[in-house]
Amino acid sequence: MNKEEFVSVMSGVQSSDETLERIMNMTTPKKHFRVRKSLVVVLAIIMILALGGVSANAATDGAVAEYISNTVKVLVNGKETDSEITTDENGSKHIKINGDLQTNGENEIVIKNDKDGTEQIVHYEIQSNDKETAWSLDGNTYVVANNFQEPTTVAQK
Amino acid sequence: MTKDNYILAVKRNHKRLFAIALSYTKNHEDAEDLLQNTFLKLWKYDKPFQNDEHIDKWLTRVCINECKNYIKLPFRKSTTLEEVKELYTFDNPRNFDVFNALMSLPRKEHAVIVLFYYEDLSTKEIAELLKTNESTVKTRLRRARVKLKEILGEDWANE
Repeated sequence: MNKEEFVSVMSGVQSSDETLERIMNMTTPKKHFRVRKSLVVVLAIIMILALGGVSANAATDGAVAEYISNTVKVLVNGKETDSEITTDENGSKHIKINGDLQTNGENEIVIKNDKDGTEQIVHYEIQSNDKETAWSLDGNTYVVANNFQEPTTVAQK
Repeated sequence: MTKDNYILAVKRNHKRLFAIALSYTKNHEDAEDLLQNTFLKLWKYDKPFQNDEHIDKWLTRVCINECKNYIKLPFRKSTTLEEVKELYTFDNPRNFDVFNALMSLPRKEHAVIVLFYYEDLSTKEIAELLKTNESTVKTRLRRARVKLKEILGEDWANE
């Protein structure tokens, strides 16, 4: 075996066109992400208000920030999980949650507001297992994908 | 790094980095994830590179590091023979047999084979990359060749 023969063996072995395209397009940040099945991703979700009684203008910096400041309960794919709301020095809100997110299909994330009983359901397809990366949704609220934890439970194949 | 340079780096390196990742993961899907992670790190790297060769060597190191982190994870699944037939194309049946023999090697031996034959690195360079000593690399190379010869029944060039 020499290099030439080895290269010949491996010539047809490569990643899929879909993956290659995704890699090429990584220079453009996207709102939807897919996470590897074996990793737990800490995800910060910003809710866009579309509930009854809230006007179209509610999806402003002030209304979102107020909603986020209320107590929330988070369920990831049906399982309640811990959540932490933080505010950075610029006043931007982050909600961080821990949960086992699945790569096959979408993840359902339910955020319940304990104060007024309303809930918001978000479906997320997440693709990132790099360190913290933030995308601004409205200039004052951010989606943050962050994986730094080993999984405590992993779905068996 | 500019977007154009990034795209060129991807086109230049994706196949060989995928081969490295596959040697560690033994799983197509996970190898794709590691490949993606590697290039994402490239895109986010904010220091200048001297030239294309510098970029390529940097990518190899990053890919190896990603692979090493990967093998610490539990619940790894190997790509089956049937899946290999569907995923990749081979010019002839012999290439298919050689590929499957490679996939049957332990990860560290498979990786050394890829770095030696595909990347054309010396045992010293491989040792530096894998942060191990040269005698370990030579041992892994020797063991891999013996196993491949047992499986394929042919001689390997002594380098």
